[in-house]
Amino acid sequence: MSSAAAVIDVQHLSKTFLTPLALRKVRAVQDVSFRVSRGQIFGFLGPNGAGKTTTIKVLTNLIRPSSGKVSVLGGSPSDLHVRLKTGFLPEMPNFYDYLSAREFLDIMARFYGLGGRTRRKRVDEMLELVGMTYAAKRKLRKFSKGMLQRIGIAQALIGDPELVILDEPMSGLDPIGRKEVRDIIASLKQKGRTVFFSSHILSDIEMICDEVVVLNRGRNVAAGPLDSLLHPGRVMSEIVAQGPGDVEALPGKAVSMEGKPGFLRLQCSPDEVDSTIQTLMQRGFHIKSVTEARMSLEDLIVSKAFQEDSRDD
Amino acid sequence: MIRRIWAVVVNTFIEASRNKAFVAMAIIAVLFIVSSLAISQLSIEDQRIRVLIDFGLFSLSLASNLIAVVLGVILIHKEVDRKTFYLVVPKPVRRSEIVAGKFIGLASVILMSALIFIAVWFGVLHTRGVTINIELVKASYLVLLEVMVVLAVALFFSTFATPIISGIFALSILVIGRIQYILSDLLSSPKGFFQHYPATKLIAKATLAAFPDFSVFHVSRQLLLGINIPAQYVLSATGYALAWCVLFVALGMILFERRQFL
Repeated sequence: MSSAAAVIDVQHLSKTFLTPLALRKVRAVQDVSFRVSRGQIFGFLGPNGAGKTTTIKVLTNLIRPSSGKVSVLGGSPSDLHVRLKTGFLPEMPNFYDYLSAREFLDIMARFYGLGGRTRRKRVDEMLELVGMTYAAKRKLRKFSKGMLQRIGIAQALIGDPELVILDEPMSGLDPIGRKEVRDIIASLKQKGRTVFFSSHILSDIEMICDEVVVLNRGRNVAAGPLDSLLHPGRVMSEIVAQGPGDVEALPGKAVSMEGKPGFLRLQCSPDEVDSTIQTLMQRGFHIKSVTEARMSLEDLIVSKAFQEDSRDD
Repeated sequence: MIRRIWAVVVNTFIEASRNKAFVAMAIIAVLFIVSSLAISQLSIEDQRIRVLIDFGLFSLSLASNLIAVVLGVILIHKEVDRKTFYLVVPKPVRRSEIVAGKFIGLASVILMSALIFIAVWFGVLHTRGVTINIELVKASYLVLLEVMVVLAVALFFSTFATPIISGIFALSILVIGRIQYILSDLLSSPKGFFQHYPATKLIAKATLAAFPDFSVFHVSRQLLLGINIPAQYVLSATGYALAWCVLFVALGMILFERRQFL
């Protein structure tokens, strides 16, 4: 993919913060690189403190990078024309609680140069999109967390942006709300928009993302299309057996099943299934089930984070 | 650019006008002026009108400056602290436009409240048989110029300091500005401290240059003595206030432009 085609192009991004009184430096992001293509739904993953929000703040002009290159829609995040085509929902946003939902969206729409009638129409459309028309005149201080999150998404989309950056958009939403947000994101893709979003809810990412980048401790640990990251070659077999044997003495990584005395669960590669079953049976175990366990995104993140941690140690 | 600044102005205007502290102070200010009627009754007969005028200008200045400092120092800081700026800064708006919009929005609210205050005050004076002349209007206008400079100072500090620090600095500048004429008199006096220690003259002159002279905006003495305030004086005071406002707002813009939202 060429740099020109990339909607977001981050190359060797690093961000260092100074602690109060400048006693020490904290490296929030180190040498992070990734590209987001036009029309993609791009997932940004990582545990807490991985550097996701810091990277997003650089992309949205809230902070400047310490080093590296960042290009958004072919320009700098500080360019007005870039921000005109970018919508952003921060993580756990705080709102102007003295405003009603309609007043708030109306003010946000003014930044995009929308005039009178067009602005009112756009505000109505956004309220409708996020299902908040019924609460349009209510003050934001009276909104629940989920309602505020919907208004946050509405303000991110008010300028009909080409690129939408969402930091934890599912946070605070119930399952129905999450599905609605997933539907909104999917509809944005259908309209040819690019969506870049971070989330802790991995199932949401697995369901809708084309590509992901995984951060841990401020570094890239994995990146690419989901299919290649969760490659079929990584499929594992899971054997459940019952017996009196000693779990410690078994091959591979066997664990006792909580709440089921005498039961154990063991994972191995598909090639090792036959030999493992034989070993288990020789030691007096009864095989209860053999299933294929496809590697989940969660497994991937945990394994990558584990690899990084062991490398650092 | 105008539309973007206007968006910030609208938001700031709504925020400030719905702020409980502002509403409380505006009510207290009006009560203050009404109470001046009672206070004037305590003075001797021929001094009553004088007290009403003096007290009215003092109340206008005190209330408006307090509103400017209290709302001005929290203006930027509150949005940084509550992270509401995370919704605005990434929008297609320059940071300098945000600062300009904040200043204009709050200045509009203060002017609106001051106009209500002045209307009540003039009403009180009218009931006491005082003719509302252009000199009274000029004196009120000059007080409002001072308030605009105080607001610009408060806004400037708000771009980088906490409300308490900003409030202390803004009020200090107001006090220093109010007593500048004393320093000026001492400097021009043929005898005294500065003549005895010539080296301190430089520090005193630097202080005069570094802080706005708020005594420029107070003409109650002339008003009470029946001396007309020349239009030229009002014009030059306007230019003086404008220059200080532009300086402090521009400095605020520079600092806000460099700010990182961690």
